Amino acid sequence: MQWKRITAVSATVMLAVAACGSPSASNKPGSDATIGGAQVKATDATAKGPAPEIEGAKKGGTISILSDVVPDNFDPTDTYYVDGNQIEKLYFRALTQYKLDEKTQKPILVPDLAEDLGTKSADGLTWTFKLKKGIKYDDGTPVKAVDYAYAIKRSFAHDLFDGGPTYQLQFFKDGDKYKGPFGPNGQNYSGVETPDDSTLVIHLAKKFDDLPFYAAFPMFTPIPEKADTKKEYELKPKSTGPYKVASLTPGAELKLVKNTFWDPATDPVRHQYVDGFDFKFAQDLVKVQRQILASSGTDANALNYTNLDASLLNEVKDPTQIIKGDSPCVITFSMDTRKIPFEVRKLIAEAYPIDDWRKVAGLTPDTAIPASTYLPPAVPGFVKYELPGLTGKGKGASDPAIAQKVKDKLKELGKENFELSWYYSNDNPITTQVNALRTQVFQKAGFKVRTIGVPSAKIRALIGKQDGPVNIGKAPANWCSDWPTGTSWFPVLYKSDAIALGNSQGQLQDPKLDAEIDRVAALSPDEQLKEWSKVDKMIMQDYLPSVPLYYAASAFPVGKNIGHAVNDPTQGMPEFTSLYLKQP
Amino acid sequence: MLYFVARRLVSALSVVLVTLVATFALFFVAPTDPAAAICGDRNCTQERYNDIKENLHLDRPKVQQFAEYTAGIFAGRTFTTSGVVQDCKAPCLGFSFKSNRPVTEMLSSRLPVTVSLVLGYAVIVLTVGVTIGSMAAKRRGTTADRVLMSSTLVLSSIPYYIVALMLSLYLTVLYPILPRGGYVPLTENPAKWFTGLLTPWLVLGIYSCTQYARYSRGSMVETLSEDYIRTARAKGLSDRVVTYKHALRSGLIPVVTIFGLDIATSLAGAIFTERIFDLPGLGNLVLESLKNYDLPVIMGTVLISSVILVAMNFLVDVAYSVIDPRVRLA
Amino acid sequence: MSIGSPDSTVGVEDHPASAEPVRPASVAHGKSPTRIAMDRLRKDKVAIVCASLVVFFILIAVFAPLLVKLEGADVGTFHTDLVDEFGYPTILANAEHWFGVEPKTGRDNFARWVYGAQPSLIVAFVATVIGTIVGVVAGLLAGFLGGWVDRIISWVIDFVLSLPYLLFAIAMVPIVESLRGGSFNLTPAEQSSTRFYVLIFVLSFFGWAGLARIIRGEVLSLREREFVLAAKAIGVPTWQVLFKELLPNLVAPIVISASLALPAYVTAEAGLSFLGVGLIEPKPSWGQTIANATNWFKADPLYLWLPVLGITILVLALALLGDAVRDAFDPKTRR
Repeated sequence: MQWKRITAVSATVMLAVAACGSPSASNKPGSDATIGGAQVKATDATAKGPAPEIEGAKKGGTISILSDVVPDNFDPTDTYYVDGNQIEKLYFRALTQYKLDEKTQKPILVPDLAEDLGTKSADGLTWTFKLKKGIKYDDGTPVKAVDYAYAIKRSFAHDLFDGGPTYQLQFFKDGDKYKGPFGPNGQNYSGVETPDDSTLVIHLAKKFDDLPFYAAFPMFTPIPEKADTKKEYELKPKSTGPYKVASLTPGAELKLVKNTFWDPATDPVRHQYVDGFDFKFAQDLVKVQRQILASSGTDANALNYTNLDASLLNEVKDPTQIIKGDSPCVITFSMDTRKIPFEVRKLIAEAYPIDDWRKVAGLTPDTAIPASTYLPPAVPGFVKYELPGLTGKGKGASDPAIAQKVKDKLKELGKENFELSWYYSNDNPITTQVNALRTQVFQKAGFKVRTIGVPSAKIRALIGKQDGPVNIGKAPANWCSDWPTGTSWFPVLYKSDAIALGNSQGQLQDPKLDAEIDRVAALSPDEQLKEWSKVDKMIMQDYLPSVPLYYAASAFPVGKNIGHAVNDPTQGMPEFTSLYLKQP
Repeated sequence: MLYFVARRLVSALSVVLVTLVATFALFFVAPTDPAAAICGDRNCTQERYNDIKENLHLDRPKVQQFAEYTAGIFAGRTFTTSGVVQDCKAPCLGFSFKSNRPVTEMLSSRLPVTVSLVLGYAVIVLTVGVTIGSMAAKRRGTTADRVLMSSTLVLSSIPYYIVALMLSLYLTVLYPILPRGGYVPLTENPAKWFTGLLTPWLVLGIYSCTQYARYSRGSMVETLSEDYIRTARAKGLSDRVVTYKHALRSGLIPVVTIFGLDIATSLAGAIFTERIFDLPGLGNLVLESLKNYDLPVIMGTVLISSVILVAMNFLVDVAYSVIDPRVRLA
Repeated sequence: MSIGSPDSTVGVEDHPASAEPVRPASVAHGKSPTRIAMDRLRKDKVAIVCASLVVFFILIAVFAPLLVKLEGADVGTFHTDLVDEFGYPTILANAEHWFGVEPKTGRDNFARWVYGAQPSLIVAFVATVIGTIVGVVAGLLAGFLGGWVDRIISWVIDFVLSLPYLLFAIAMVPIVESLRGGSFNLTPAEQSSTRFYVLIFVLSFFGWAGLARIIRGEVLSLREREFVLAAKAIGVPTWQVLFKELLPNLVAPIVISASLALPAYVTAEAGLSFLGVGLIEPKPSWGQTIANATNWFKADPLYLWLPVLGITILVLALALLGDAVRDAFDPKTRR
């Protein structure tokens, strides 16, 4: 998953006020981030509904969600970004789903509309899912197995639903050829089968052991072919979750009401405490956050899922109104290992002015936790380690002594005036300032710097080119996992074939590393948990494809009347399905 | 008269046509690559890229593309994506690159917001603004006049967005005297429509009042010094009647002229207000589309605003020629 | 209307805001209208004060580097030691940083303010000059030559006036920028100045038409006057008739139009920069600072209010000066 929200937020027109007195923040929310510990269990194939009641939860009322960001769309096939995934979890059920552990809030993969987490054939190329019986859509019509098959076929119409995830194109049978159900011959796809009305069989072209995790995307919700209005489907979709769409105004508003045909006994994850949800999008960030903090009148029933703006820190009177937690993203400074020698990469890491950069980039200790690993705390299997000089902290070459040291070492290596080059968005004040800072500091440390400013709208395409004419900052420098396992990180980012897939962090090409990653990926999910952290450390110690900068963390404001607001670390978003109102 | 109207109509239509060509040229001839924009950043294979180019006819000559675009406006057209035939009814302005929705539909869902905003604004500037102006004109040279005029000048010198930001912050969030902005369609709930737009109306209206007060004062001062006003006074008519019945009527003509053009401009220019009060109108749509280089949407908005502006110009001209026959000769 | 539109000269010129004859007459026969106007202006206290204010801002802009050297800071240096880990400045105004520092970056507010005056003034003045020259030439040609030249120019005027100005400006900035060869291989400073020229271009492009329409109207009435007919009859070349005979009679509308355009452009530059389609970093400008500072107006008040104050006073001074100039040129206030 790519890092979306950081770019979406910075462009809004902001308005704000902070508390009086000294211009310095006097009432800071605590900055102790809980760095996650080791976890032993990632999946639970036996979980059954209903989800256990939350203590003190009441029924009734409406929660409003005031968001500054506009989700791309609400079509289940076309949803990839975290906000869409999380909102649709309220009304679309997929084959599998994440349940948050009661105590640790760690995600556990459980069956949702499937009876289990799928059964793999001996060669790993055929997966069979047993489906729950008696599931109904919000109009009372029964869900059929062919509806699941149709939804999967629909996801191959990627030109029409170009925002959706694409693993099916890569791993499913004929994924590279089949173009979805709408074209000529569209009905004939041999990749999915429904031998009877409670079985779904998926055929793969390549082994894809993370399929049960992938099956948690809203793309795997059943869609009756007759009801499919293609691009219009998002306006009146068939819901299977505890809520259904009352109205959707794209770009502006989404209203959800209770779905009376939802049966809690079949759902191990979701609750149905409030009567409905009102989502309002494209709101002014600082304005809505201030309203929510003040919590007067109906604002007490509202929340916003973007991290609290730093300029509002002084207005936080009640620290419990800020919900904190992990998010599945790590932000790094990536270096093309084909163009920059290992020794120079180490010097770049030494020179990087992390402390100054954090301030200029507007990062606060609440939302950006200094990173020392490639795997974030939100992913099960994370084990914290710190290599000297790679702790996500430090002055780097903005300290003249270090600048001189780096300069001398470059000279020793015969790499004086080594050229660093990168793209930056020139129409965003923050990225421009960050660019100026980096340029100043790296120049002091004896590097030559060439920067290329481009419009924000184009930068993603440019940095995504693995063979682009720069040696720093190629995407994905910032990565968020698609599902909480190490397999969503190491094989995707650091194997040699990642370059061809356009997903390589550091463009590593090392057979030894490939072999090690393949070895771990072949283990069972629970065994993998122990191994990934070793791979993590090995990559940083021996390869250093990027400088880890910070783990993105959540710190979003909720109204005073909202109960059981917790962060879902799989998305870095609030868990909507368990919210209730303290006084409905 | 008919000849004049016909001539103006031809000129107006030609302006619209050239605007169409100009916007098309600017956005499609400019070195941007719409196919790459749609294809996205990840998983954009050459094959898919070519598919998109073909589907959107981007591989055809520019002139043909323009002809198809224009034909779409009058007759509608169809697009084929992934085997799905999407029908774009006339007036078809294409599909958004970002959301893949028909631009016409997006515009028609946003237009009512901007129109509602401008309507309320019009009422305020025409009542409050003109009243202040004519009151000042009647008392010209007095302290009241000077205070009124200089305070309007000072207010209008502060950048509008700062005034609007501060007013919305203090009056709706910190000291919630006024209802918070938010758009509810008039057809859905008239009361909520009114309260949701009240604050934006007031803020935009009060700020723009200052300009109208100055226009109408100038115009009224001029009219009040005309001979026929002196005659009316000499006849012994009361001051009230002279000012508000005789002078106001002709004094308002230039104000109404400016107003006609201003309303049309505001339809496109309410960007700041929409931005600050989170109203999902045309201006906000343009800013959002600009961020994504969503060319069909930007083009559509520019085009529709130009059409509105040209239409308003035309109406003002015709209305003016009815009021003042001399204009027809020009 | 939310942003000063450069075509706001239309219609206004006929109805000056304060056309009442209040100022004392001081006119001797035989003076040119310009001369008369200058004499009147010199006696107008408001005009003098406003003119001095404008000059004051011009001086600040011109001597920005010197002033900043005097303070001892500079525009681009980050002082991250002066902000805490949440980005809040840890100092108020002091001897090293007269107006305090920016939140997050810790750059010097005073330096950014004095340098920020430059783009506002340069954009406004250059766009006004270009718009005025193009407008006058187009208006003269259309009015004097008549026929198809007039029809074409009048149509172009109508066309430009029918474009949704703000919307077009917003859409045009990135497009003109990319037409100019895109932004590749340019340093940040070069890109920043590209935006600067694009902005001047966009403002001038929309600014000339209003004036051209007025000039055309004036010329239409002037060209039938005896002195023009006489000049034509004795065979004076057309360009000489235009610029020697007609132009001096058009000083009043030109000056008035320019006086209205100046403050409108200052506002427009700041507004576009505020929306993110005007000037960009690293060139400091008031509009950009305001856009960044609205969040921080209580944490770092000087950061926001100084540029707001700068724009307000500059626009007010220019507007009042414009009023005074209009009065001075208005024959109705002459006795």
